Amino acid sequence: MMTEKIFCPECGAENPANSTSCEVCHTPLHNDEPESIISPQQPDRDDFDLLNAAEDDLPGLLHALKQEQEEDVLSADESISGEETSLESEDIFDSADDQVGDDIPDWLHRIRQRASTEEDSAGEITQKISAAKDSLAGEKRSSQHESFESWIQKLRGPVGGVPTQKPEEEADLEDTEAEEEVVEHKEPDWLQKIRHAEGKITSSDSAERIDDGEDGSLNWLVNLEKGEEEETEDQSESEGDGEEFLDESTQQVEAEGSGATQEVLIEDEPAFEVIPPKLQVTPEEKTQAEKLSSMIMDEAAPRPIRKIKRRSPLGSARFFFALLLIASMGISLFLGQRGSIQSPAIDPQTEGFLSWVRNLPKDSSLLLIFDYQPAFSSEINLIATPVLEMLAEQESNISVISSSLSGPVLYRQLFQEIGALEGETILDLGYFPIGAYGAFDLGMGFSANWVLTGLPESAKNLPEDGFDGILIFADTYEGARAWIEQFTILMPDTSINLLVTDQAMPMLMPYFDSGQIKGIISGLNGSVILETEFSDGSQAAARWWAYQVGLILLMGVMVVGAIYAGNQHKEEGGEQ
Amino acid sequence: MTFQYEIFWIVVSFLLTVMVLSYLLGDNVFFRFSAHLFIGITAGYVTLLIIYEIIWPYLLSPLIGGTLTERLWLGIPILLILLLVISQIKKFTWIGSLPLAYLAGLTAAVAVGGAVFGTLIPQSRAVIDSFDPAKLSVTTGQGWMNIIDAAVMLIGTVSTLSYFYFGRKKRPETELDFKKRPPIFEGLSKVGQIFIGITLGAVFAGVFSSALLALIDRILIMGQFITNLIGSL
Repeated sequence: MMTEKIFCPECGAENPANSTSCEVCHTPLHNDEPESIISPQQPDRDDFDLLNAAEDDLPGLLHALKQEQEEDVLSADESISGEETSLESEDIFDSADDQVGDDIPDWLHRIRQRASTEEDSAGEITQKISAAKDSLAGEKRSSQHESFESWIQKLRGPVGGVPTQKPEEEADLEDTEAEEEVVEHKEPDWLQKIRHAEGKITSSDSAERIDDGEDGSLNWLVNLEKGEEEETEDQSESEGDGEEFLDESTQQVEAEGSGATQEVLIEDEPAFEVIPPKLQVTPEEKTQAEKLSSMIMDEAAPRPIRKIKRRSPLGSARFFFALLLIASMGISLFLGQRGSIQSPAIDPQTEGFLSWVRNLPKDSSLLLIFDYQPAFSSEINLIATPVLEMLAEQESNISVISSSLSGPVLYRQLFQEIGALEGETILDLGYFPIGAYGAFDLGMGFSANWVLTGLPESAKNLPEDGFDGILIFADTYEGARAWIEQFTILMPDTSINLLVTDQAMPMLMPYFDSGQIKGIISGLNGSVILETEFSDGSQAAARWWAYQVGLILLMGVMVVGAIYAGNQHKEEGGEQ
Repeated sequence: MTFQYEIFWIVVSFLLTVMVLSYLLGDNVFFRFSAHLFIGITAGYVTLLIIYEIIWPYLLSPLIGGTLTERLWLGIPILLILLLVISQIKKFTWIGSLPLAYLAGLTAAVAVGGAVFGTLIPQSRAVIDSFDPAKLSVTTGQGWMNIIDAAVMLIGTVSTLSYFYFGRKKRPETELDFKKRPPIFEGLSKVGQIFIGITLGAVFAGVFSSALLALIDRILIMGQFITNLIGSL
């Protein structure tokens, strides 16, 4: 099976024995005698099995080659120990190696054999290399990657350091290599040898390493080994010699045997692929981003007229619960038990308020501040009625001020309903748009040591000795706080008490704990206590049972709603 | 006549209550009518209120019947009012800055002064005082409860304030440093979340209770109206 052929030292193409120049690249062929090489032959059965197994997975192929190389290294070790290298066992490779005066690894020979025997093998290998690169990028293949690196490390030893030639040849080879090292700029020995075996002595261009498909794999191995060490150098070199090739990233490959020219896309990228961090965008985020961008784009566009929302599927349930609530409360309000209500436990803030009212002297001067909205007038009125009746009995001098818009109307209505204050002199200090201003004005009227003469009389006939107490009726925390803050600073000796709604109560408790106010009373509980203590009224008692029924129903609705929302959330999570 | 007048307003209030409650069926024309009616009435009421409660007693009345000194003093608010009115003209918009700056400065001074001296300092003092041994021993038998109460108050205050600490390391070394607060604040903020949750729960319960009482009042009025209506037939 011996065939006389001449291989071009430049491009590696086969040429007839009598050729004087390469048919492909027209490089002069200097060999006087035709090369006698072993034509591609069938490899050993074991080798073929390994290669066949590697068909499906390039890392596997490389692994097989690695194993083969390790076996060769072992045999080379034996040759170092004195045994003569058995050329018969490696005759299929050595003849070609001898021609170029270099040692070529076995795996490279096998790749070459496959390239010469199998049609389109070069392209196939290149494709596998690309696939292998992608697979190496994955984390799952990291172990294979590391294993391959270690194999490369081992490969450097036997190829570059283990002599497989006779001592004389080795000496010549070393001389040649020494000269080449000057040219090849710090390239590893084994790499130089591989290049030498391929007839690529110069390292001027990285693209030269990719002459055909098998060189593609070789180049990848070289890149993998060299890493960043020569990356910069390769880039600069490839830019300089770009004219010799079609493109930096596209190499023209002529597969042996077929003679067909293929363009194989080889990405010029580092051996270790750097995976940029991926931006994880959920579908919801994407939708929101699209909405935002469309909103920005269409900012000037006319907006559609808002349509009345259709009732959601839950609308019926809401309507049912609302009707149930109203009906239940109505029944308990009109038909429920009345009169016999046990007074709730009296807490410290309520006790403080009660003791202040009880100890209030006759003819005391009081300031009543009304700061609530009409929606809460029923709740405030429930609490205020017993207190105002008590104050009327004590013949207190009452001044009234308001810092809410509806305040003047509401307190007039309240006094009218009570009737107990008819005939009493009530000083109406009017309305202040901002509570803090009103409080500041009033406080300054008593505490300022300086008086600007000629100012309009804003405070109408305020008591000269100030107030014995201040009573704030408020439906919100903010409204009450403005007055408390100013009076704490400007009228620190005046006791402040609060009559507030349940919603304002929790946030005002710290002022009671700090001693800034004497007492607080709030909500239906407070009104029941006040009715029990100061009057025989039954307004709070009439509402008590309806209130209890409403609370229980609403708590039930909340529990059902929470369960429904939880299930809905689970279903939505399951769908996603 | 008076009876008819009262009946009229009772009927109106009943109808408006039903219109507002019709929102249970969704947004509809009756609800919108009642809402617009309330807005219009409120606007008219506020205008009259300001005229009768502020402009007349504090501006016009002294200007008409006051002394010369009083009138001179009133020049300041009149000037500010005029500047605000003129600022509505596009060319003189900048003139409005002066009265607005005066208002903003005055409001800030009153509000900040009140917040610091009326809330912050007294509340801080209260927290500190709650650890006063003399006060703890006053109530015999409840000393331990007072200590626990004071400790809970202290932890609640510190942890809630920590929740609103959003500082980061000046020179974050890792992405975690950039994203997260220092560990001590992170831990305290978790405790603070509990206190904030309890506080908001209490506020919500209060709102709930007040709304329920308002609804009871409306039901009571409607029930009384229907009862009276049936009784009169």
